[in-house]
Amino acid sequence: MKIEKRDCSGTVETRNIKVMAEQPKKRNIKAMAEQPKRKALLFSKEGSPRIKQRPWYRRIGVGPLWRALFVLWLVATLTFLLMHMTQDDVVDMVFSQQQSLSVAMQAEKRADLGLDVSLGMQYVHWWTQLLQGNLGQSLVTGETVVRIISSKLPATLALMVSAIASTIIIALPLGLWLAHKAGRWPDRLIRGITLLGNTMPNFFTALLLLYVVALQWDLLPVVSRQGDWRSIILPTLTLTWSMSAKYIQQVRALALEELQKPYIMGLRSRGLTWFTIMSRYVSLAIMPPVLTLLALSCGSLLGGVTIVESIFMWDGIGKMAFDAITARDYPVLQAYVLWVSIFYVVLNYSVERWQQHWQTKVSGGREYEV
Amino acid sequence: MKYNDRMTAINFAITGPGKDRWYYWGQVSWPLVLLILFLGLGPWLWPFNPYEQALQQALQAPDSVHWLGTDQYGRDVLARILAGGRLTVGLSLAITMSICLGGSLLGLWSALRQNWLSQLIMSITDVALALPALVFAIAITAVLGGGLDHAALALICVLWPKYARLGRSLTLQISKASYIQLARLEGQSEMGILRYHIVPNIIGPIIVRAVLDLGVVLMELAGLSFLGLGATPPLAEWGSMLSLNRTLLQTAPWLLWGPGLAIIITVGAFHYVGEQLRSW
Repeated sequence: MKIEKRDCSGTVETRNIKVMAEQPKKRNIKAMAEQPKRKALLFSKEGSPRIKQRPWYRRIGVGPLWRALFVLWLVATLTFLLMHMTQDDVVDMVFSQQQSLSVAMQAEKRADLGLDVSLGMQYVHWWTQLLQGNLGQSLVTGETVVRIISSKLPATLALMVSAIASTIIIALPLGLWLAHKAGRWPDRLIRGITLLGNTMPNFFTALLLLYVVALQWDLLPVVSRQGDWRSIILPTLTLTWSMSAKYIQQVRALALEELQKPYIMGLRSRGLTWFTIMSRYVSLAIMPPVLTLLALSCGSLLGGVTIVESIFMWDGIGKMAFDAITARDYPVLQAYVLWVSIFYVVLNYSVERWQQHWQTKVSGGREYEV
Repeated sequence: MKYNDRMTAINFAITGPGKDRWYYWGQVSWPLVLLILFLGLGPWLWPFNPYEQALQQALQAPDSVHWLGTDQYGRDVLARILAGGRLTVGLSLAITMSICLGGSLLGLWSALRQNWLSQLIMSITDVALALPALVFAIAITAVLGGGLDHAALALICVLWPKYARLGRSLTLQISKASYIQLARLEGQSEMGILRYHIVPNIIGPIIVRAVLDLGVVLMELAGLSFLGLGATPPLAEWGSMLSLNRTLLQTAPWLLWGPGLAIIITVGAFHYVGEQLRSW
C-alpha cells in the first residue's frame, strides 16, 4: 500500500487503494490474550507519545560534542601559544648551561627543535605531531613526553579515585544526616568543622598531617614509597578533608531543599522511616547536581594534586609538573596542561550527557518533539 | 521584625535607608575591620623588622620576646606574618576587586548590548569556564617566569569569566522584570534605568560572591607561592613562608603554625562575612 501513489485522478487503481486503506487491521485477539503480560518496566518508553524519532545525530548529541571538540581545539591552541609566551629562549636556557655553544650550533639546535620557522608553520607542524600522538621530548631527560605521562598517570588516577570515593563515602551520609538534624547540635558542630575544612589550604593540611601522623605518632611513612599501599593514605586524607567539607555543605543544602517538597510528607504519612526516605528517595533525587559538582571539582582537584603530590613525593603527574616547572621543561609542562584539560573537558561533557539521559529516565522517558 | 526569606543582609546593606545601611554593614563586616586594623597597625606596633637577619637568634622557640619564635635566619615570625599579611591580603583584595569589577561590567554590558562583540566575549567566557582554572593559573605563571605580579596576573586571567557569567545572567534576569518596562514607559533614560534599577539589584549577589571568593583567591595565591611560583624567598608571604620552612618540620614546627593559622583565620573571616551577607 503506497500512499504517495494516491492522487485525485479517479482511476480504478486509486479507488482500490483507498478501499484497502480504510479496512481495519485484523487483530488476533486470542493470541494477544495468551501472550504473557509484559512486565511494566519502571523506566520503559512504552506508550510514550513520541511523535517523531529524533535523527541519529540529535540522539547521540552531536551539538554538545561539537562544543566539546571546539573547546578541545581551543585548549590545544592555548597551550601552544602559552608555551611560546616564554620570555627566555629554550635553546639558550637548556643547552648553554651544559656547554657553551657556538652560534652555528645554536642555530642547528634551533632547527632541530623546529624553532626557526614562523609561528604559523610551527603551529601546523605541532598539530600534525599532536595528531600522531607525538608531544615532543623532555628537554631535561630526552625521554618522549608521552611515555613520561603514561608512566605517571596511574598513580595520579589512583589518588584521585581514592579521594573522590572517600569524599562520597563521607559527605553523602553525613550531609543527609545533617539535613535531617538541621538546626540541632550535631548540625552546628559539624558545620563548624566543615568551615574549618573550607578555610584550610591544601598545603597546610598536608603539612599538618605529615607532622602529626607521620612524625609525632609515627604511624605512616613520611615519603611515599613504591608499592606501599599505606603511602596513599595521607595524600588522600589531605584531598578528602577539604573536598568533603565542601560536599557536606552542598549535600546538606540540596537535601534540605528536597525535604521541602510535598512528596516527602506523602512518604512520611505512609509510615516510612526517615532512614528509608533519606537513603532511598532523597539521596537519589540529589544525585544529578552532586555528580555535576563532583565533575566540576575535578578541576580544582587536578590543581590541588600538584601541590599535594609534591609535598608527599607521590610520583604522579602533579609532581611531574612541579619538577617540570622548576627545571623549565616546557614540553612536559605543555603536555601536562593539555592532558589535564582534555581529561577535564571530556569528563564534564560525559557527565552532562549522562545527566540528560538520567533526567529523561526520571521523567518516564517521555521526550516530546515540538 | 520578620523578613521575607529572599531578603538577605546584603539587600539591606545596599538599598536600605541610610541609618540602617551602616548598621547592617557594621553587623556583618566587623571581622574585616578587625583584620584591616590588625594588619594596618601591627607592623607599626610590633618592634621587629621582618627582613633583618640575626643569625645568633636563629630557630628560637616561641617565648615572651618573640611570640611566634624565629626562623632559620633569626627573623621574627610574627613580624614576617604581619608584613606578609599586608602583601597577601592586599594583593588578593586587589585581584578580587579587579576581576569582580571588570568581569561583572563585561557581563552587564554584554547582556544589555547584544552585538557580535558581546557574543564573542560570552563564548570566550563559556570556553574559559570549561577549563580547569588552577592548572591554567599554574601554567601561565610558570611560563611567565614566576613572581608575585605574574601570579596575580594569572589568577586574574583565569578567574574573571565567572563574574562575567554572573553579571550577565543577573542582568538578563532583572531586565525581564515588569518594573524595568514600566520605567521605560515612563520615559526614564537608559542610564537612569541602569543606575536606579539594574545596578542596585545585581550588585548584592556579586558582592557576596566576591567576598566569598576573597578567601579562595588568597588560598590560590598562597598555593602558587608555595609551589615557588609566586613570591620569591626573601619576600615575606604566607605561602612562601610555609614552603620555605617545610624542611624544618621536625626541628621547628612553630614556623608552620604561624602562617598556617594566619591563612585559616583570614580565610575564615572572609567566609564568615560572605555567609553573613548571604543569609540573614
